[in-house]
Amino acid sequence: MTNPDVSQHRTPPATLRRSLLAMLVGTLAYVIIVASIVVVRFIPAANRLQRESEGAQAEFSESQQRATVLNDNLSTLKSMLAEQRTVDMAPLERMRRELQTMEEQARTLERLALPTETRRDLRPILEANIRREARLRTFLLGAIAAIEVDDPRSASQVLRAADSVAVQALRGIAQAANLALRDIHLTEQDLAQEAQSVSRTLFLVFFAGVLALPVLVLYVRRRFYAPLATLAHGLDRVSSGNLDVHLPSPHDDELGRLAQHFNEMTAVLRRQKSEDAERSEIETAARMRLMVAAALDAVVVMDAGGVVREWNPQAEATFGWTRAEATGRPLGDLILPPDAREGLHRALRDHVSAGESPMTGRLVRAQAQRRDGTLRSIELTITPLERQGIVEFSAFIRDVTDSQRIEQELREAQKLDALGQLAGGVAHDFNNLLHGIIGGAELLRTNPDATPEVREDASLIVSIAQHGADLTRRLLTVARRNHSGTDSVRIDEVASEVVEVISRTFDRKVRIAADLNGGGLLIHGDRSQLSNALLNLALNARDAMPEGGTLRIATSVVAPDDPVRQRHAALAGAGRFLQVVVQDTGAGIAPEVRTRIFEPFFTTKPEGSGTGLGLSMVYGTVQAHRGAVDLESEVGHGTTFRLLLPVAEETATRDAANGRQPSRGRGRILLADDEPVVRNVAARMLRSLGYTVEVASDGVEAVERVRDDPLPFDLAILDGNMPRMSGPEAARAIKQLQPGLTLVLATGTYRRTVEDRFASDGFASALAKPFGMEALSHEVERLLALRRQSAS
Amino acid sequence: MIGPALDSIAGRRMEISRWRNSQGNLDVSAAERAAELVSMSRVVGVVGHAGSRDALLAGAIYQAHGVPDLVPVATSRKLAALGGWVFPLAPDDSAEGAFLSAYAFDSLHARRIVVLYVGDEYGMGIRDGVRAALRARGADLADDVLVPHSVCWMPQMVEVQRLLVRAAVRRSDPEVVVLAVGNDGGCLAQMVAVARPGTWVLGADGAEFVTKRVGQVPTGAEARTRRVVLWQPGADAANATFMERARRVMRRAPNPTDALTYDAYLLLATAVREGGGTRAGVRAWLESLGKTRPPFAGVSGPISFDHAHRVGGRLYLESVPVAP
Repeated sequence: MTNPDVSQHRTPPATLRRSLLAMLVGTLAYVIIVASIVVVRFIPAANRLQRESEGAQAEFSESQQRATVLNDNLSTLKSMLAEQRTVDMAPLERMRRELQTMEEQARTLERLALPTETRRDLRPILEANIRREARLRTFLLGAIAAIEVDDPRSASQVLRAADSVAVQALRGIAQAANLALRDIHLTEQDLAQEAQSVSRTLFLVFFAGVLALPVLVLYVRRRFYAPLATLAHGLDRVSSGNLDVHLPSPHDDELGRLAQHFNEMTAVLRRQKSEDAERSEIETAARMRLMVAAALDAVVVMDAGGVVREWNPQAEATFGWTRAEATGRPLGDLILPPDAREGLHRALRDHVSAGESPMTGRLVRAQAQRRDGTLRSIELTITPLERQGIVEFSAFIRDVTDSQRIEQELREAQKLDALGQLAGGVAHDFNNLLHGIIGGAELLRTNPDATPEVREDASLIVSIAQHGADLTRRLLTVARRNHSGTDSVRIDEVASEVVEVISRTFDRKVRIAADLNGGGLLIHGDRSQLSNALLNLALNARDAMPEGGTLRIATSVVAPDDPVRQRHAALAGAGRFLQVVVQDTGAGIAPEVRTRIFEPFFTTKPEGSGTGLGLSMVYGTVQAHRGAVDLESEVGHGTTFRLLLPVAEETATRDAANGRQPSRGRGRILLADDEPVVRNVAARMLRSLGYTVEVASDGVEAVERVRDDPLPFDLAILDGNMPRMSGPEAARAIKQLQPGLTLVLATGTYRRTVEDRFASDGFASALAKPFGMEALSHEVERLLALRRQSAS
Repeated sequence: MIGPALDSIAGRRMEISRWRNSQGNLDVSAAERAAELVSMSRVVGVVGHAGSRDALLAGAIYQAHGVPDLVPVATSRKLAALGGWVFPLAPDDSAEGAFLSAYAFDSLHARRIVVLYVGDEYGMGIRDGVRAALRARGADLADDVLVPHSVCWMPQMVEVQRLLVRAAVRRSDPEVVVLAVGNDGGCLAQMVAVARPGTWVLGADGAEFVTKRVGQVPTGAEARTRRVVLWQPGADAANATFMERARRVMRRAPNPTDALTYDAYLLLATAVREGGGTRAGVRAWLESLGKTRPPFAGVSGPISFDHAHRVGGRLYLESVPVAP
């Protein structure tokens, strides 16, 4: 099937090709004419004239030479005959041979054939001369023969005949010479005329060529160079990105068609560029709509009067108005409290009139009002959009209520942490003082020389100082120096502290009941976290009982077959567990809410009343203690949280040590502590128990004493925090010097994790400061007994 | 005579241009005629020219322009040397010189041999051929004497000729005189017989023994005079046809020149017909004789050419009259 467009396409006449061909043919014709003039007219004529001239000269010259030879021979023969002397045959024989050779040469093919270029009038003369020469040679040979056969008469006759021929020959030579000279002259004239004629013709041809050259140049410039230059210029412009190029096409030839194709090409490119731009704009708009729709900020577009034109889904979520509801209404009416709306509208008007306003082009923090009337903190950025003379505004709105609250809480936490740090420092120093007081009182109380009244007063001092130590410990807890990790926590104590706190702070409508039956069992845990967990549960219970009720906090050992434990598979076979129960008689938790209450930031409390972090912290704390949280709740009847925590089995051992009287012992002990009071009291306590004690004021001195002392130590008690060299550093150095020495770490921040770590430093045990006589006695005695057992 | 023969051979019309020179010594029109012929594109072959001088003059032109040239009777060895476009039908002067020497030296047992020659290619060629053949036998010419050409009818020149013969006989006392001459063969033979009776006279193929008497010829001179001929009638059918046709057309018995010219015409006609009618085709066909095709059966015998275009032909001696 034939494409109609193609079949109807008519190839335009290739006039450019014809022009080129015509120019080529014209140039060739010109060259051929010039060459023809030279080749056809001048060169043949010159060659012919030259050959004629040379032929005539050669013939004349050779003829003259031969005639001379013959004339000489003739003269020789004549003289021989005239002298009438005896003939010597040798010269005659040579002469005969010479004449024979001359005859042969003259009659050979080449000599007989006169050059065809020899002029017609000269030719018969030369030919007649050749014949005369032949006859002359024949007569000479005959004369020689006659002389040879001694026939002088015949010789004379023959020589006379030869004379006659010689005269004719000389005459012919002269005639030929004249003709030859004339021929040469004529030839030169002909040659000059021919050269002049050819030169004249060539001049005319060249003149015509010179006249035609500018025309040719103009033609080439107009038909070739100018269109090509225009095309090149157009291509340069297109390559530089300018498609608004239109080339003229004055001639319907190849270059004209090329210009037309170029124009068609630029038109297509312009159209494609326009389509690409439109497509790009559409794609950009679609992309922008997607971005706006997917934005996490509320994005609003409004006109110069602040009327909403675009309202993205996040704006719907933030402010509660659907897009259909918001569109066409002033933005201020939708998101701002009544007293702030006029400010927004005024800012927009100011920008339209003055080009700027306090609210446009910058980040503005403000209070917004949702559709339900609740207030939210927002960050608002209003940016003017000017397009085609129309001013619009875009507003990017971010709800920062939650982030501001978290920032506030973080600031408070940082403040508490700073206070804790301060309290911790005070507690540490105070702890050392208490250590001296307790130690001194213990020494006084155990002094056998003291009176009973004195020992009673010392006991009172010890008791009061112990209360002070408890206060110090609490301060350390607040300072979080005693709960990052796993302390040995007596859960009843934690629960008791929480009960004490809430008893003093909760509304009296909430009756608080405590039932602590933990039996003094310890758990490995973070005392502070556990305390906070119980406190959070207590607060939730209080909030659940706005009209009052009973809040019960209880501790107990969980029986292995307890159904609560059975519900948590992770606790199966994990040893003994303590449970802490926080129970209220409040509104209870709806079933649909129970599954979400441990999620971070989930809260059912009114706005501003809770962070949603409390129960998630409780859950995280219990999980961190390898326990479980159990919830029982009934709407209208109350809620019960049970925290199941694994029991630390060392409790029994430590408890077994409690209540025993200090006992005396033997051994050489090194005591290192930078606090003189602590160092002196502890040394006196150990000495009172019968031990030999050497003291050091820091870790460096302790190492030197171990290294330099001639007597070995049985045990070394090293304070954990000393200047120059800490207790662990000193322990590692001492272990290098005396690997078998038993080391005890004395620290005011006793922690299980620290214990685990100092074991790796070489410590056998740790003493929590301030320690009393009993604890010191029992720990030293225990360690020395172990040392003795290992030595035996 | 040639036309009817060609009609019986060629199947198509063929133009034959006949031309004969004047035999003049200084005539150079052979070259002019050759130049005229080669310029005619319809000329695809030439038969001629008669003498060695004209044949060489014209042959050089035919060779230069690529025109096949069949030379019937010229014997110059230089003809074959002209090149591949010239085809001589007669044995060259080297062969003739060897033939004459063999007869004089071997058959006549002559040891003093003189050559009287005219100063053209024919005469000098025969002289050189005889000399070369004698030297091949360890001998040499006793003398070689240049004689004028065609002067028997000129009394003054006849005397000069006689002086030359007498001087040659006096110098060499020849047993055999070889005449490498043209029309003056008879005059010179008489002069030799007078100057030295009993001398053998051997004429070359170009020597003409005319009937002019120039002296008293001794008895028995004719018995010692021979001439080389290039052809003798044979007994084959071709010779019979040729002889019959020649007698009918020319009303005389054909001579060797007639026979060789006849062969040349027929050979060229056959070459034109079978060679494609072009100059190159004619040459190729002629060169193929004796190679890719059998020799041409001429009245002078089988004709073929070797690589140097030398034809293999036979030479004969015949008795000739010395005087009327």
